[in-house]
Amino acid sequence: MSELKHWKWLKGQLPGWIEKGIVTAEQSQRIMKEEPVVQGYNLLTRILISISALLIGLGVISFFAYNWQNMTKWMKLGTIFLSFIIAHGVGLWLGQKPERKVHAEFWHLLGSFLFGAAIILIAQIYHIDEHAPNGILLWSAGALMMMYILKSTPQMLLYATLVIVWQVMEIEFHTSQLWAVFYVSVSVILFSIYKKHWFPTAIATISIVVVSAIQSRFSVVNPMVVLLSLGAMSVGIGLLIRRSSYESCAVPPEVIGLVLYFIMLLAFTFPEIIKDSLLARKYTADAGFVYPLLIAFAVLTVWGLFLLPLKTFPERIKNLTQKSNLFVFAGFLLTMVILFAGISSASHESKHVLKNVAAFGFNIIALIHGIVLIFSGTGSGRTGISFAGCLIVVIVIIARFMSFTDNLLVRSFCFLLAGAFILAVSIKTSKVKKNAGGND
Amino acid sequence: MRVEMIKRKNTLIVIAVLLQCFVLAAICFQREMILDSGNIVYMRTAPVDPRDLFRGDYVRLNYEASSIPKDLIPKELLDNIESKACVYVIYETDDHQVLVPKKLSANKPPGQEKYIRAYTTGRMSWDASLRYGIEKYFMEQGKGRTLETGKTLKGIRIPLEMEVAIGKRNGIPVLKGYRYAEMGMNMEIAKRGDKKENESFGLTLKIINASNKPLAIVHPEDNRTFELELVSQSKEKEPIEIKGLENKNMPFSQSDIKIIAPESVYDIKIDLNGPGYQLQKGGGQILWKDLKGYQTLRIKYVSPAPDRLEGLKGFEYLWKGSLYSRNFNRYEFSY
Repeated sequence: MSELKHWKWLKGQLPGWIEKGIVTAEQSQRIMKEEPVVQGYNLLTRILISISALLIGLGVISFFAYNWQNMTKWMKLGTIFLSFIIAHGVGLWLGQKPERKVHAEFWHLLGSFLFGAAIILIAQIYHIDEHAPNGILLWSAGALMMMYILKSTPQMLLYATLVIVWQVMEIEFHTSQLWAVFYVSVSVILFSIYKKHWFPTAIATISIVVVSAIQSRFSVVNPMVVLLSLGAMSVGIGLLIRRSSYESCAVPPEVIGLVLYFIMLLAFTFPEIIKDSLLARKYTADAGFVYPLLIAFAVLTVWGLFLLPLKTFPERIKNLTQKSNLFVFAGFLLTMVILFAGISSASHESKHVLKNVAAFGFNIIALIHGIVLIFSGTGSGRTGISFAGCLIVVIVIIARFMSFTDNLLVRSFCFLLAGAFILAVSIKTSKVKKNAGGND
Repeated sequence: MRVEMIKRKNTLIVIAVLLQCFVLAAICFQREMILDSGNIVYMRTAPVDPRDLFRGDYVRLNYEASSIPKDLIPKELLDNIESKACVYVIYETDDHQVLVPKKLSANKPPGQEKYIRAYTTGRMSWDASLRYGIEKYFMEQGKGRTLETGKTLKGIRIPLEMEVAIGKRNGIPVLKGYRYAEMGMNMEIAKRGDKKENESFGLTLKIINASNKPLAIVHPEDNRTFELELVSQSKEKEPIEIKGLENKNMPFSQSDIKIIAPESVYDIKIDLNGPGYQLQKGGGQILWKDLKGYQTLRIKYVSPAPDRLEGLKGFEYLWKGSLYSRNFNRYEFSY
């Protein structure tokens, strides 16, 4: 039962309690006044409200975008200003009644959409064709304000979406805006900490990763390295959250981080990708020290989280051999990435050798990581982990065979080997699972 | 306690809504002030590729003043200015209130000079390519097509002139309306075919009077009022130059005044190998085929100062303004 339901239950019980003489009518009124209603987190309702406000907002924007010639500009401006004020006014009025809080949220969200509609309409009325993304930035600032005042997740969703849209629109202008990363990070992280729910955490993780990825184009560090660092750090943050009492919030950063980490891990097994990314020197230094700091922080996080809980060196080695510890591999990968990027910036001559050496190293890391995951998954009967391990090993094997030979016989042997390997792993995992009493 | 919390929250909501209203109102107020008390000029839209003209419910505008020739850019600005930098175009207006750029400046010009704010679109090499932030004219959906097609008389496109209010203190332009120019000019390029390099070849200019009264232009036999102008070329060691006529300032005669009746067309043939249109590089003449594709040119007509025509019959019909052909390059001659 959500806390709103608790509140409703309390409201329903009080008349009976007054009749039975448990509380007086005055005490009952005081209880209702003093007991703050905390909105239960009905995610589906909020999503539906957001979609409904979005559609109505889009309808209003399209209506004004028609740009009626018979309507004077004062009529247009008056209508949009009035709609904006009415939407928030209704929201404010409904917000007085705790049971109508969800409806109030809808009206405030509609108000935020109308703020965007007003920006677009003003640009249209005055034929403003200056830097278009600034309009979206202004809109996002409005949503940010409402998000904090109303402590509303749909407003946060709108804010994060607008920041991403703004950054995507900025791509064609090629201007470094590193402050955008701070603008989105600070606001969404603080809000997620306040909400302590997985949904805002997911919005926060996605928006930070997307904006950082867009801005990493201007970094002195290669964007792929930045993505890898972001992935490793996200997993680290997820693990730290997991150790707190809000375990459910750990899933979004962990999942997003793992996806990024594995994509980058597999990407770095290709020599040509290494040549065009790690060993390419197309860096512009606009973002200065921030991204190298981010990577340093990511390295410290992954190695720190791996090494800190264990006391002795043999314990650490045991940890590596006994279970799949993502951080060991993430740490190795990051260290190698930095090493090769460093060598590349010092010596530009031996790119051909360097790309193969680096690719060899990354292939070894990917293979060991995959094998450890398979052993860990089959050992504990966890199909998901076995599946991830199989995926990594099979992708690496097939990709390498494809690049080494055109011989169809060898390729067929490779596919047969990979197929048999997956079959063996799945049989082994299901056996372990059955023995442990789990359902396959 | 709870009532106080709700009250505080409500106050914050009201403040946030008012703040958003204030920001929107401030944008409107600034534009209204400019529309109300700004300098009114007309900015002529340059002939553009029709594919870029219209998208959705707005007309995309490209102004003649979007490209500022090298002569009007101070050297230090040409060497140092970055892309997307804010610059100021110092301007004057002709008799038809059409904006004529005089100089480009990196800073707001002090004193009484009139200026308009613009942004560079790339690093400057030969000319400055500018954006004024008024390159879209929004119209009711479906109505933009009329403006996109433009006014065409006898197959000749009449230039659209956008009415612009310019803030006196900040140079911010705001679009107010539009009108069509009184004169239009079309250009037809003759293909070279098998002609030899030194044989005469060229183009025909068609000038139309789009007004409802007779208008006169000045056209001497040597075409000296129709100058060839280099629009763009990259920063080269030896840039292309145009060898103009030496006797450019000689007085005009009665036969040079051509009165064009309303909706009538006047043809002018120009030999691009003839005197006044020859190309030079490093002091020596070069051929048209030696031009690079990115080197674009245009023909410019500027009506002579009235004092040079005083006493000539038809002077009272003189159209005081300038006309530009569309830009062209060597490939249009089928080399």
